[in-house]
Amino acid sequence: MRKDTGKNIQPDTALIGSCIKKDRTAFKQLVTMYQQYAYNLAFKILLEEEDAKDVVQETFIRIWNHIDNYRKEILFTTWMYRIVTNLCYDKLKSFKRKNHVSLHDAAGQGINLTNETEHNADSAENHEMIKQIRRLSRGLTTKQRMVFILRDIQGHSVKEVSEVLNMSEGAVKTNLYLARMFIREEFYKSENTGRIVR
Amino acid sequence: MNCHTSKKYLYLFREGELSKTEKAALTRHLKDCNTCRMFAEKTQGFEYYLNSLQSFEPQLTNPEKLTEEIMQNIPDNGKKRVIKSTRLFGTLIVRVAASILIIIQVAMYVYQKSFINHSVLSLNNNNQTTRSQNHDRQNLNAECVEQTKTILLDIFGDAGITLRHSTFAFTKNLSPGEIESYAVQICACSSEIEKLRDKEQKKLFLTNLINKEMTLKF
Repeated sequence: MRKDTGKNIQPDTALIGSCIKKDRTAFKQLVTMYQQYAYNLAFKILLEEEDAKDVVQETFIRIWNHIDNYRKEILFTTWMYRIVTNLCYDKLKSFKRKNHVSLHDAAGQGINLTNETEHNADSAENHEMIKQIRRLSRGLTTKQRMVFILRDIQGHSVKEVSEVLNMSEGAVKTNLYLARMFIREEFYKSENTGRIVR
Repeated sequence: MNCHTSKKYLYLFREGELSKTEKAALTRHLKDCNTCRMFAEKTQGFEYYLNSLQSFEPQLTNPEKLTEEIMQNIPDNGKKRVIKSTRLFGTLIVRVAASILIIIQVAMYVYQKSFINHSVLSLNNNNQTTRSQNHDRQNLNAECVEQTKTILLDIFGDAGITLRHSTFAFTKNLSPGEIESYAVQICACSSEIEKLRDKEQKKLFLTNLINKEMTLKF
């Protein structure tokens, strides 16, 4: 199953051109078109609503400041996702530095989700999914998690993932293989203890 | 095909990267190998689970508000602006509060330390003063005892009375402090004694003084 990651809705040259000329109306149109896609990926990586929103804001500020560096050879969404993943990567690193007890880790220890996150998880199914992703991905390295989320949860192809993360397809496959191995183990462990609800 | 290759092929199969020949080889191996077939079935369950994760679609609760916030935060003329985020604001408040608390703590610590130092210093000074005073007093008393001995020797011509006094003090278990107190009293009268011209008068004066003191004391 391949889902909509925004790659089929690319901004036209005129819109990008207006944004390069610092046309705020055009840029607002761009934000409206893509903020949901950016948020979707940021939330899947960070699993925190406020952090994801901060990343979306920072992403569009960077796009505004550097849109003249955008090259048409790559899809706009790929460029945007690259900024999103870079910012998420920095955030995850800073969490580690601050010894932040994120809900990624907390989920594995049976700590309940906060209301803040619950209100975003607009359905019980999503809520359950967040818990499962947290539980399964908490032992992955940051790179493995990025690859796993982009490929298996976000539904990008290996080529797209390699473009977004700026790494070779081989490196993507290796990281994906290791991530899946780990997650599969976690999945079976959870399945045996009845924690995964399918 | 061995089991290791089979697992690798299963992975590649999911990625859609197996050729027709490889697919056929995998199928043949799965028919023959019970372990790999069970692994493949198990993996299929996992693949199904991975696919189900793709239905996860987090939605923005208030996209218009986020758009507005983004538009407010982008700079006007290419100048970079800092994101106005409630979380950042919250962090700022926490940082300021934490800084104030730290300053108060440090100030209290310094004050307490200086107070303790001051107290210890005063106590030491007091102790030193007391020790010094005691020392001075002891020295003075010792001098008095020596002076008394000299007076007694000078007046009585021998240490007889001194010896008697000492013997008496010893036999009566007089403490060094009590002997000293006699000596101090004799010393106090030394100027009066010196005024007396006659040695006999001095003897009488001292005998009376000692007897009187002894009578009073014992």
